[in-house]
Amino acid sequence: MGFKFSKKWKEYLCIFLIPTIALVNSLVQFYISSTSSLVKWKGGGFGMYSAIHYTDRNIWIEFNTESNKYYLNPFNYVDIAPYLIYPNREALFKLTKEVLELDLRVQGNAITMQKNAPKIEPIKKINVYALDTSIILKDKKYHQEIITQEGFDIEQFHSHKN
Amino acid sequence: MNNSIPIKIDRKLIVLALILTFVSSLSALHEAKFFIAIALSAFAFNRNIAFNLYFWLFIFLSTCTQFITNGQYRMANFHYALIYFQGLIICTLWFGEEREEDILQKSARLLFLVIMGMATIQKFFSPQYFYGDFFYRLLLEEHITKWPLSWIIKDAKLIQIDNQQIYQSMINGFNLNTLSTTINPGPDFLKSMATILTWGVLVFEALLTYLYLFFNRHKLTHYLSILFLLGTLYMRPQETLFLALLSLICFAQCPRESRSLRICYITLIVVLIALGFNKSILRT
Repeated sequence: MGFKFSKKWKEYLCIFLIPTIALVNSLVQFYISSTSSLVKWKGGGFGMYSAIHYTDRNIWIEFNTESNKYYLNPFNYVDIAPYLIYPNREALFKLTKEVLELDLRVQGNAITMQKNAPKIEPIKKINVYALDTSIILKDKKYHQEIITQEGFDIEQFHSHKN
Repeated sequence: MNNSIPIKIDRKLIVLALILTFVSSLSALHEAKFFIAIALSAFAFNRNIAFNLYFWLFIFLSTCTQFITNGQYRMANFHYALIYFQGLIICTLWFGEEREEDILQKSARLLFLVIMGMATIQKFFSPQYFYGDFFYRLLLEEHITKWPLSWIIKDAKLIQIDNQQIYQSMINGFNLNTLSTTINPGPDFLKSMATILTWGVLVFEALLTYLYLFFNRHKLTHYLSILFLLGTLYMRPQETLFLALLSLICFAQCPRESRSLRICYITLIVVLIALGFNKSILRT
């Protein structure tokens, strides 16, 4: 004999099941996006337009060598969209790992992929910054705000296995 | 509340939901478009398929695959709302023919309350929203060159280009010491307009949540919903499919006796889906 709902319970289930799932998921998303760097536009919290879109986020990687600091905006070299949506430590580590697999060369203080530029010196430490760019109405300025800043030692990448 | 309406779920609503699902599946992120296209073709041969519980379960699961392949945080709110709506249809069909429409109306009302209520709460608790970022930026970067602002502001295009350049130069050069740059603010009234829109939208969304909580079958509620949908379409013409879905959720609650309202909803949904289809085709 199979399990059978009473008509009343079946009715309650049909009416409340999906809205309850939607509510629970949106509350979880609201909590995560309020307490971490998850963008409000994604994850089913219906927070679109309440904060900036992830395309107005930016990531910079700072490579520290023995004598210099070099900066790279990975936008032109890897697909950074997934990392912009939720730039937590794990995502930024993954992004940096992906960037380290590229043929990094230097031009002034910037990283380049141009073959004729000199190769980067041995990297000691890496800092990754994720930033939000918004306009503040009061002072009529674009503001960049660091939302996540993570530091990694180069050994962490050598010892990490996929 | 009337609990004894022996009416089957509206055929138009089901067909519109199907077409919306198909059009949304054309977007690049969706992995299941071919399965849904096959299911839709089957519908052309047998109209009863559209009212079959297993057919909708199949569509629901196909739509869910994109959450697995792309990850939950890559999915937009539209995709969440779409699978919730498909879930409502599945629950309604599972309940059976008797009072189907009544069940769908009640669950659609709750879903609308979650969507609009959460949108209001998220805005209310977001400092960035009250900075005025969204509307000021929208006016400065997009609407300044569109009617009616383009008629009023002389150097609209120049202000837009100026700000685009300021923005680009800011995000292209990284310097921890200078994280802010002065924009070209345009005429002063833009700032007041952005403030009014910021508060206006919040109040309107809160009002709609209140109306759907207590008067979801009242005509005024639906006229205000249509006004909200049209206003959002004007401000954000990119959001066609999300607006079509919201319209569909409102349409599910629209009283059968309000013929003019139902025609308004159907026209709006068809136009929105057509616009979304155009965009999806361009994207693919």
